[in-house]
Amino acid sequence: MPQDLRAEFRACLARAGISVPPEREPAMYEAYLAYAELASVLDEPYPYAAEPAAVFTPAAPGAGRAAGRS
Amino acid sequence: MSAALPPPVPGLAEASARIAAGESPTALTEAALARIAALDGRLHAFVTLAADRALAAARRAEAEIRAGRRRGPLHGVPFALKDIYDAAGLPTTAHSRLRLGHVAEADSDATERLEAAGMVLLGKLSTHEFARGGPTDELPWPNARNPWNVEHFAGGSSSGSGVAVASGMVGLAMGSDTGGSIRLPAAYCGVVGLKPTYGRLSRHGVVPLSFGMDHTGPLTRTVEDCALAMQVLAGHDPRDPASAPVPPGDYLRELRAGVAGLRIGIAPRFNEEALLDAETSAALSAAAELLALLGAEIVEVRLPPRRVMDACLQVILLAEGFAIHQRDLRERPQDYGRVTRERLMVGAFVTGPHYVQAQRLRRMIAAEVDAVLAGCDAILCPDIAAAAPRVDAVDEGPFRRQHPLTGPFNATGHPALAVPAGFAANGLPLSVQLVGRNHDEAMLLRVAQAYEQAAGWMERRPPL
Repeated sequence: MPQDLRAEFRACLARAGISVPPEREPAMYEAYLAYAELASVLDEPYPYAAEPAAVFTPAAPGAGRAAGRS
Repeated sequence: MSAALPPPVPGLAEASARIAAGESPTALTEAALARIAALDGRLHAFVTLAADRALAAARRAEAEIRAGRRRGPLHGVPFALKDIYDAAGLPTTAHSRLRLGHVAEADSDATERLEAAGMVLLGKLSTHEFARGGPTDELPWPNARNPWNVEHFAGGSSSGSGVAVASGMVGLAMGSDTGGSIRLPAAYCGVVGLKPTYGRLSRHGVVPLSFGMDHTGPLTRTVEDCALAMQVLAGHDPRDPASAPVPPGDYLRELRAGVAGLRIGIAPRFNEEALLDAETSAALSAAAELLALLGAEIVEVRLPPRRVMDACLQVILLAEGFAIHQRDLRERPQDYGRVTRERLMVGAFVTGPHYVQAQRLRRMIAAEVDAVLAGCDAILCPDIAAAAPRVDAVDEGPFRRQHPLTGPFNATGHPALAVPAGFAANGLPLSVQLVGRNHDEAMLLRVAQAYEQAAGWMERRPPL
């Protein structure tokens, strides 16, 4: 399992296109594990009605004209 | 040395009164520049000092006031900006090598509002790089040092803002707060710092770290000064998509109304999870007792678990920070300080589903805190677990094991204010946090004012 996590860690960096110097890899891997542990709280299901806080709100009618667009 | 040290500048209320009584704004600005010249070689609060610009603005203010055209209480009073706020014609470095050579073409909303009120911009203040790094990163400018003891952490990321106010260089410094970056330097430096409600103050013209979590706000020496600043800063700004179309409050009207009859919540489980040291725990208890003595009713409340609130904040902050910086992290990572670079890189671990879940969780925990605040007027809780650590003891790893006690209220968006709450045995400041209902910063300021005036901690100055 730890080997799988290290592979996943390296895959995340590769997918993001970023590289970590070899001497800093242990610290970054530790950060990865700590992050994954914290984020695991988000794996529980929420009710369908729980909408994201950042939902897009279209501008009110006329907002474009009010901003001076023609 | 201290005999030759120019005196600290007055706070906003005192400066305003002195100008109203005939004191020269030019003289006030000169006094601030003299204080900065005497101290900044040790404290490194400023990245850019705009002395000529400040003196010219002060002379204009003086001429207007002498001609009977005083714009308001802050006309002619100096201020400074964390160096992530734009001011036209000045660099906005974000304290980073990546921004060398940048010059802002326009003002941030805060710059516009403060200068429209007649305030005098002194310059730009030190910050942790891109509001994300730490106090040991090697950057083009030195990191700000805590005026109470330069070997100790000034807090961050608005480190220069906390240092400049605490050391009496300026009465108002603007900061930004994504997980505590106004309240932590305020707490460690012994000043007042307000993170207003999400959307209350515009972020237009401010270098972003996390669109969903970034807040702008003031650091001042006193609560009254904070209220005076909010009178000018608050207001809707259509240029900021998150700016709330809610009329600003009157932050002065009930400032001195006291706390008699108010209900102040304390959250025992939140406090237990905070792992406070004995001095901070005692300061928090003493603050609650003092508010009770002043007539407030202290009631127990239950906040969502820290782990849940921390996860919500961290996932959103990390993902958004990485999205903003990803190109530079790929193409020129060596130009970031090590701490900044690694903390931003942790955002590469966030998955799409986790980001969406964190956004859904945000709405749920905000509603839980709303429900708590339906039963009390404010929540009193810790903002730091202990006085400022030594700089060489600060956790400078890519992902902190102990998340700040301030972050939960970035996640929920509620206004939160740090106010001095005493001193540790080693002479460093202690602080407590007040959290209020959305867009009710006036209530927070009212409670903090009552506490501050009764406790009197703001009378003590750093031993410079």
